[in-house]
Amino acid sequence: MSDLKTELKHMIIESLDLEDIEVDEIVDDEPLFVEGLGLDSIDALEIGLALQKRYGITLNSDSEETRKHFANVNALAALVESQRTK
Amino acid sequence: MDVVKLSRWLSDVDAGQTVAYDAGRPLSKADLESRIRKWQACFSRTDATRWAVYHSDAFEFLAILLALWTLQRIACVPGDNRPGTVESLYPCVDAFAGEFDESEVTVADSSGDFSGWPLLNIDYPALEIYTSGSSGKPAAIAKTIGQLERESLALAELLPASSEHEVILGTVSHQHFYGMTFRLFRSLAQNLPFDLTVCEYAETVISRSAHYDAVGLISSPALLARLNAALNWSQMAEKCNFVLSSAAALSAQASGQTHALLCAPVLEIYGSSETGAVAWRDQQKSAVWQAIPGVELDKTPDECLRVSAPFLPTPVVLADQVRFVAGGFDLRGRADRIVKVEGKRVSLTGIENRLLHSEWVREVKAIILERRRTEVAAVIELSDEGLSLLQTEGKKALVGRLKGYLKDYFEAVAIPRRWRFPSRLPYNPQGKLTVEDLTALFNSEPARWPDLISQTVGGLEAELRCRIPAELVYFDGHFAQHPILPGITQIHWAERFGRDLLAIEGQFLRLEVVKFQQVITPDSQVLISLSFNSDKQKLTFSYTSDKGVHSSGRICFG
Repeated sequence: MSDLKTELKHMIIESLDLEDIEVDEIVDDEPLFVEGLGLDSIDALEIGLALQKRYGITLNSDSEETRKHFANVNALAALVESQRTK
Repeated sequence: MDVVKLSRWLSDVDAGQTVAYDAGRPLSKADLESRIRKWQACFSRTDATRWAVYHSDAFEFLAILLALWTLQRIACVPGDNRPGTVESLYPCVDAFAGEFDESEVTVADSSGDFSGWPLLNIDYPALEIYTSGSSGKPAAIAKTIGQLERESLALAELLPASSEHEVILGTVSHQHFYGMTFRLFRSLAQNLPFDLTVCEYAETVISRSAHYDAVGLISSPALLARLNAALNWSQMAEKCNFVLSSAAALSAQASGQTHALLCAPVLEIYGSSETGAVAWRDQQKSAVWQAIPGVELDKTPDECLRVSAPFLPTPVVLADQVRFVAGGFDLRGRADRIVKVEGKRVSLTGIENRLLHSEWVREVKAIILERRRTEVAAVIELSDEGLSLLQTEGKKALVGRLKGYLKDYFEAVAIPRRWRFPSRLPYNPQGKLTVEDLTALFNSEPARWPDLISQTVGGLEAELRCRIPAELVYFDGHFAQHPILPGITQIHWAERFGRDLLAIEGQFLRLEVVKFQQVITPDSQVLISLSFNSDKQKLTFSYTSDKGVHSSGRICFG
């Protein structure tokens, strides 16, 4: 599980082209959007694409639910654990 | 189908008409009327003329607008309801209606006699749109209902309803003029119901479309440039009549992909809040912009586009520079410092002015970087307070404070993603700050990829024409006097581009028949050709140039 979280942090930094942030600076339960990392709606779309590409996860059409999955690295890891197809 | 004028819509349209859907649940004009009457009752209790309006529910938003307009009040519409936006609206409005923290307004019970709906007055400034002005202060753009309905007439000519059962889906907010015009006013004029949700993700668009027999999609490049081809688009493709994109130019690649996934024309609209819709194009047919019916275009001596239209009281000059060509015009860039970041209008001057107000900043310049996405970057000469914060708490903490400070005033996409704090801004010997010098501050990261000149992708094949930059980290020490591009780098690039462009997903297993025939030197141009055999899971690559073949081989995946 912790390897997966590290992998996800790498994925976030890489797919969003983030600067000045290292994997160990992303806190597992820190919010990714608005507060914390301060990501925006475009980043959310990019993360959705990266999840599909890397783990074969298709997001549910309910954006409220997607927002919960994208809340922080813990939530993302739980999503990948339960729904990955590769 | 007849087009209904906005001013007559309330009085003429049948109460049973379906106006909107909430995920398949119809909402009739009678439902809208009852919402309008409740809002009317609350507006009637005060003399407030100018109302700030924000509501995330498009149906409720429409009810508020129509209620204000039946009473000849003015709807002042901001793009968002952030604390900083609300603060800047205070001097401009008398009261707030909708989703505002400050809003004291609650919907009242409608009472009293109802004597039918009036025709709306088409000549007073009923709507004010607030956008980023070039000074960075919000600028109001006023519209009469006459203007709105004349624009709807022109759009009906461009985009006639293609079937009676078409439902309009949207991925853009109705708080912005593009979304308001195409999701709400066009729908009312052409009796097309709209789905009231703003779909944030492609998945939502697909699932909403399942509720309807036919749909049209009002969208923007922010979403269309990031469509996930792996989703199941086929059921939506069968019923999609058109896709509309506006707010920024759509890349040819994104236009082609959207067209392929949805099997529908992808029309782009060029316009602005000041002018409304001005021109359109369908890149599957031509990349040239053509005027919307009734719009007349010419340019000023400094090449800026001048727009005359039946829905504009006087011609409007835009800050976009154009070149007229056969059949229309090309866009050449902006003449001011308002930029589009992922479709959102951002004033660089506005960001600079706001940062100058903070105690940490002495001087600042904001620029746009085109990296993997379009983003804002800031170059800042720190004040003494800023400098001591940087020294004691570090760059990350300082950037965090600056971002937090901007968050109240700007949408997230407008907030700089990259920051540099030089001891002095890079003025050149003429005393000017050039975009090139500022941009160079952000190129200090080591170069690891070729500069792409052009690329073509078709099916399982791709060709990339690239320049090999001399600054590549791979030339370091390989070799000291005679830098050449390492073979392993060429294989790494072939694999990466193969994965990105040809959707290769397997594990890298082994190499076959790899040959390095000629060296690749700094600053040379090469063509990388890729071809993927999906049955055998083999990617054939070659690096060629006018010197012949440099290298070739196969990467096996599994």
